[in-house]
Amino acid sequence: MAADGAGTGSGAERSPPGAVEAREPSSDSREEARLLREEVLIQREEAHARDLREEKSDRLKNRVSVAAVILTTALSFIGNVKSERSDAASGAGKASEAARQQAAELWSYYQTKIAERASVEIARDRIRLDLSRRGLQRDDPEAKLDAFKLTSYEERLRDFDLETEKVFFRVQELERDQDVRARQAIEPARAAFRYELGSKIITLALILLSVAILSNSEWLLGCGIGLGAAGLLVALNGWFLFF
Amino acid sequence: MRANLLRALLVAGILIDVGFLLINLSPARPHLSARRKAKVVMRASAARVAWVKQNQLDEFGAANDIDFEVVPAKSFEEVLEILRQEKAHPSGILLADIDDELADNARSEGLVRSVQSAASAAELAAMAPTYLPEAMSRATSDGTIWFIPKRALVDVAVWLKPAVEDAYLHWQELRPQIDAALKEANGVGLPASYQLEKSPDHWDTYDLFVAAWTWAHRPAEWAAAPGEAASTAPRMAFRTGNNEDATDDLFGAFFRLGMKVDDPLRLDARPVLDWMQWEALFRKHHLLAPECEKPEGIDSFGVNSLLHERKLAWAPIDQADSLWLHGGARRDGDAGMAGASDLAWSTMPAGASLEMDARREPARAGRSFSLEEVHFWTIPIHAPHPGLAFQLARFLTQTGLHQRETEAVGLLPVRQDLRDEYPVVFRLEWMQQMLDASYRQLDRGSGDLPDEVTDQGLDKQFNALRERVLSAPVEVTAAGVRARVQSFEKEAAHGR
Repeated sequence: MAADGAGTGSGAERSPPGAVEAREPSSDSREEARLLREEVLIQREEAHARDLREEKSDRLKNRVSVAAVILTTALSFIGNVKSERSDAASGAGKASEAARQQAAELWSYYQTKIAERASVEIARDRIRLDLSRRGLQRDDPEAKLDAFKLTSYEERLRDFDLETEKVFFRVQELERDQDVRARQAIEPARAAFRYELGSKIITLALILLSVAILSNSEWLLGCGIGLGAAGLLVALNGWFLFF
Repeated sequence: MRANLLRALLVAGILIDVGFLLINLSPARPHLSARRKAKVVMRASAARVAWVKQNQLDEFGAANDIDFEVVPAKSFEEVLEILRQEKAHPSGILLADIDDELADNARSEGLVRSVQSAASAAELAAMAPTYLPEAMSRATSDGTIWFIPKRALVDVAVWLKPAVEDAYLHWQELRPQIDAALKEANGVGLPASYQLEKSPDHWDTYDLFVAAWTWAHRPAEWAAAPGEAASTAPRMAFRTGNNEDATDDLFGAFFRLGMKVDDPLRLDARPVLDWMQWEALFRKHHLLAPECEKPEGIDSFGVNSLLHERKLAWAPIDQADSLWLHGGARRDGDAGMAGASDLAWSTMPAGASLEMDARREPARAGRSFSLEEVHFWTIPIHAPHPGLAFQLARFLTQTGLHQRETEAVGLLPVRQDLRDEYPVVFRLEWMQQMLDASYRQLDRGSGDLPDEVTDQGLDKQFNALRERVLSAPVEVTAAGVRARVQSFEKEAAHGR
């Protein structure tokens, strides 16, 4: 516009009207045409640059979308499998705890039995001491009741021993179960931890991809894809448990 | 180029998604590699091998994709021989157990590799405080950890409560005969202030003799089956003959009578003469079970069988045999002896010389002592996966499994945490009593059989000496026993 104004103003003042009129319009029009061409060229270049930018932006968006779809799909599957592993770990932990609790209850029962046994044992020993003090043998007619009670106590003691032995066997099984279950919880827990870590890294990658769209940055797209790949590898290790 | 890369990334991404979809169908860890086979050598009975395989090895195998084959051995000598074969022709043995007596041989012959070479520094640092210091010191040589402690065994005394009660109540009825028998040997009889101790935990050799005499001369109602008449028979036993158990009993007795670990093992050493005199006295009056007097002797299997049949009132026993004897240690175990609640355990009796001093007290008082065995896990020199072998040994001796093994098959735990907490962890009263006696024995006196006993064949020599001293007619005086020993020494010197 500045070139346009300078051309018309200065030419009209310096040239005589008759001689110049036939020549000046053609010069002006050429200039205008040149200027017009230049403007068109500039506009065309601008449009091309805009097209290029839009194309690049579209390509970026496409790539981000594809990466996001892949990562989101993986995230969804990882979420499921992580949840399954967590459940397995927690289930084994609960089974271990249940076995521990049941064993503890059985031990309480065992203690009660032992206390009962001790009272029967005292009663048996008292009869024996009494017989000894009176100088009587067990089969002495004078000690019939003592012998009767003594036999009964001895049988009860034998029964107590059998019962407590059974309780012990059960407790032994439960405590073994408790240990084995606790160990069984370790592997799924390790897997769940890795899936969890993988999920978090992938989520961070998705955030980076979102920022890549907003800032139209390919560099961030690269970072997002790299981080996403790392997250996928960590999550895959949740299955393989290499480390 | 770039487009290709992007396409490849896209395809990889899709494949990974498909992969995760498939993982959802089977989330458990995949077993990608082929299952490996590994062998574990164990000196154990078939029942114990089955228990260890079912309760320990299978779990580790499932987690680590290994099929275990247990190679049973009857003795540690056989284990050593297997390790020699393995060195020459590796066959995939991952781990073997060996006792402390032969561990040095295995190490010096280069049959095994050190634990230190199979584990990281962090793993070793974590391992060391786990086990009892005395077990770790046996597992270490020249500052290098060679073995992983597996279990310990120590002999204690097992006895029947009604039998000891009977001896305590009635021994004085037999005091004149007991005195006379002792007088023949030491010229004095029982010590001036002698009374039979109420608890075998406080017994010495005199108490042992008095109890053995009483049992051998009184009908044992406690031994009779219901409806059966009580019989009179010797009710005490030691392991005798040419076997490892008998060697332990013989040398254990020397240590109880004052022998020190560093003392030279001379045939005419004072403790040897003292014990030979006691043995002669027991033999002359047939106070030990008849099986002990047979030329072939009796090993721990024989003694345990007599105990199981309730024919004995007192005998030495280790932890594994105690569990077998009592029964009630595991559901699928052998049935224990009838009336197992009568069993009790105590430390071995203290030694006391037959010879008296001027105050009519034993001239030489010893102490309670028992020989201790520590067994180790060892990694053969050509073990296919030494790191895995270390992990397996650590797995097998973790607290829970070590506790279960103690309860199920019997041993003296070598883990520090189990020793610290055994009254809490082992809640069966009889098992606690057995472990109480075992740990008390370690505190009162225990140690290793000197290496030269087996290395130089001293076990056979001392056993032959014993046979000479006990040959008829049995001479029970100190002078008579010394004369027998001297004649044996002369013959041995001529033989050399």
